[in-house]
Amino acid sequence: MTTRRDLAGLLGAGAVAATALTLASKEASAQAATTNTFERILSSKKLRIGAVAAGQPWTFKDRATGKWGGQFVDIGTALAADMDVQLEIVETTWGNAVLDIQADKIDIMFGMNLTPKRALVVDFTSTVYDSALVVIARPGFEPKTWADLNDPKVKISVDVGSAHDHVAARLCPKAQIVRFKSLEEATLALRSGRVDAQSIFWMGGVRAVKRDPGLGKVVVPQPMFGSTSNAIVRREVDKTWRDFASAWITYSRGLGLIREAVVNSLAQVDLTMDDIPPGVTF
Amino acid sequence: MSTCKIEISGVRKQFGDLVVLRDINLKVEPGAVIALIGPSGSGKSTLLRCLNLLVIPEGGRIRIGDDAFAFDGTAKLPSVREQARFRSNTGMVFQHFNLFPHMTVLQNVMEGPLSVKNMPKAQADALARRLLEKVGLSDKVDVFPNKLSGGQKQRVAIARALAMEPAVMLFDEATSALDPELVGEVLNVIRALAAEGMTMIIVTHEIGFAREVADRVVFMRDGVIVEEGPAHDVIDSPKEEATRTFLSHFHNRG
Amino acid sequence: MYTWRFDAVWGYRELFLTGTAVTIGLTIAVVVLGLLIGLVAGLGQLSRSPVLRWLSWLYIEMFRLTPLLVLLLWFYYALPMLTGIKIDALTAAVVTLSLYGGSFYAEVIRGGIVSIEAGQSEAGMALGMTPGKVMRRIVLPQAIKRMIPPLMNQSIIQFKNTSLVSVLAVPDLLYQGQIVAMDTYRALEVYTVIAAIYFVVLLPLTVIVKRAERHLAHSN
Repeated sequence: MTTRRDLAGLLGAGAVAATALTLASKEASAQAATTNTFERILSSKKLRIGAVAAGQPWTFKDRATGKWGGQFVDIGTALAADMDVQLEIVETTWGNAVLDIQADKIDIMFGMNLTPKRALVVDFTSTVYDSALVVIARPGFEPKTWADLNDPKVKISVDVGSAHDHVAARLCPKAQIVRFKSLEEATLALRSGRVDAQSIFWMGGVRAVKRDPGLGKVVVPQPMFGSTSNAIVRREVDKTWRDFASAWITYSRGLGLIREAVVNSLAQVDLTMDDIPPGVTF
Repeated sequence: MSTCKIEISGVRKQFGDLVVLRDINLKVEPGAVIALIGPSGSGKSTLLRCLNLLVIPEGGRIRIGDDAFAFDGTAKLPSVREQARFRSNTGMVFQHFNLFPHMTVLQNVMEGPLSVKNMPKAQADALARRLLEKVGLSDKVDVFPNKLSGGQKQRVAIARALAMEPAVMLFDEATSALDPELVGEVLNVIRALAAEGMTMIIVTHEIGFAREVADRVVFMRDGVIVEEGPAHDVIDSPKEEATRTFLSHFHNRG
Repeated sequence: MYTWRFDAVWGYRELFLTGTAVTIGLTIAVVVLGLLIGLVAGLGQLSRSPVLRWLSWLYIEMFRLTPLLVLLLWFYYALPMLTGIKIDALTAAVVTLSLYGGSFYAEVIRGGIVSIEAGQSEAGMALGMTPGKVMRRIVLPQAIKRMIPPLMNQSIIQFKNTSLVSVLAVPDLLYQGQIVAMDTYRALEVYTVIAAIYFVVLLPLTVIVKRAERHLAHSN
């Protein structure tokens, strides 16, 4: 996960331009503070959301037609319709999403688990749905509780900086946490036998094992621990856009619109309610 | 105003602390052939290169025909365009030929008229063929330079310089890099040019040739002209001790 | 023991093809632009003007000494924030790769030009050519011949460098491969296929470079 602090580090390397950068970024942040995303969406009639091409069930791009689908595309489409604006989908990666928000390349990004570190740099909307944390355990490894995983002999792969990372590090301080640049590389590490388990939210875990049963088994370690899936927006002085998005999400959740989008998206990857691990709700 | 073709007055040049030319004065009559002789490091090649501005003097004045440049070291140099125009007054033949290896013999000779004078291609072609015939290389027009002997290369280089129809030809040790048996064919070409009345300045170590072809011989040492005069006088009965010493090496060696 | 299942990846052959096409197209664009930039910067290094020499030196060293991944992220994210210029991922990728490649080309071009003997320029000048004409008619035609093998080598490196644009979600071969990997959970097969494609595309090019090098050694 590339955060603003990482970027600041990169910029720091180019010390030549440091002074110019400081001046310019002050100007840029002053500019960002005065822009009002909500007004801009309405006046330009365009809502830009970020989407990951192979992020099923969250977002995906159909290979044959090039059309976007997935639960967050459905949710974004409904949001844009209620605002009477057009939805514009900007292709990105999970790792770049925070930067995309900061750099004003998109207006909202769904599917971001709330972490305090992210909350330092971007604003979170209210909860889109709850998300239980699970592990995919390699064949032959059968942990039942977080205590079983919290062992120096156990290696757990995570994508660096994600909620998977933070929660695993918090719950299993004694285990070896192996951090990878992306979710996919963390799964690859499990597949190639370099780790014993991957820390992942249930939707991703269930989907991965469904596609590749050789990965292992989805286990819900007890006591059950979860986080929430939210959307992020740019931090600006005027909070209208964040507040509006939050209100819309809460309303749509109550209406069942979000649950419907999630169930539909799971069906598209051949997941039924029976595949959902016992005890997991959303 | 004198009727001289070339007039060099008070020319000075130094590279860093090393003074290579001090206050050189020389006049060349139209059609004259001047041989510049002297030990290496005497400044004769530098003087020749000053005449076509491959080396820019620090001071003095150089006039070729009606074209004159004065130098005073600090003032800004003539523009590159002015320099280029001045250079085309003279044709330069180098010790190491410096033919363009990516062009055929014919293209080498056509290059100046085409790209500097904007001569129509057919006309440049005819001119080049005529000059190559003159230097005895009609059969080599479509050959690339790397297939030629040293003597042939130097004759192409002479034709290339002549193609610009210069007022003066400058030869910078044109035969020093050649095998002894190839020197003659190049000297013959120079001899023929002298007979046609071409004004020439020849830096050479071929003392016998200098005596035969040159009208006047200029002996240089340590950046100054030590002695000058009719070729036979300077070479056969030099007045200065330094000239005698220099020439004696040649007699001993020859 | 891992069971290799390349058939799982076969269904995605179109993605690999479009990815390869994007990678090749991107390479052509950044090689052409990079050569133009490199020519300007390489000549700038040889300029009589100290300001031009200093500017081209600064450009060359800044890009040569900064990791390409850092430059890509910087041009896509930081530059628009500093300047307010909107720039999409593909543009950022083309601009960054061209500038990065250009800094290496510039050194090759400068080296090629200074390798031509001074006598060649002198002969051109003696004919009355201006320095610009000497460069165009005499020096560059000879220098380019010597530059071709190192320029081609650098372009092969550029071809591989384009894989880094996947970090900006530019749909090149590696990015498409990552999509296939995420879709199939067959990352080992996917990366094997990607490696094979790079190899198959580049092998003929390296053969051509070798041949050009041999030809050059022969002709000199």
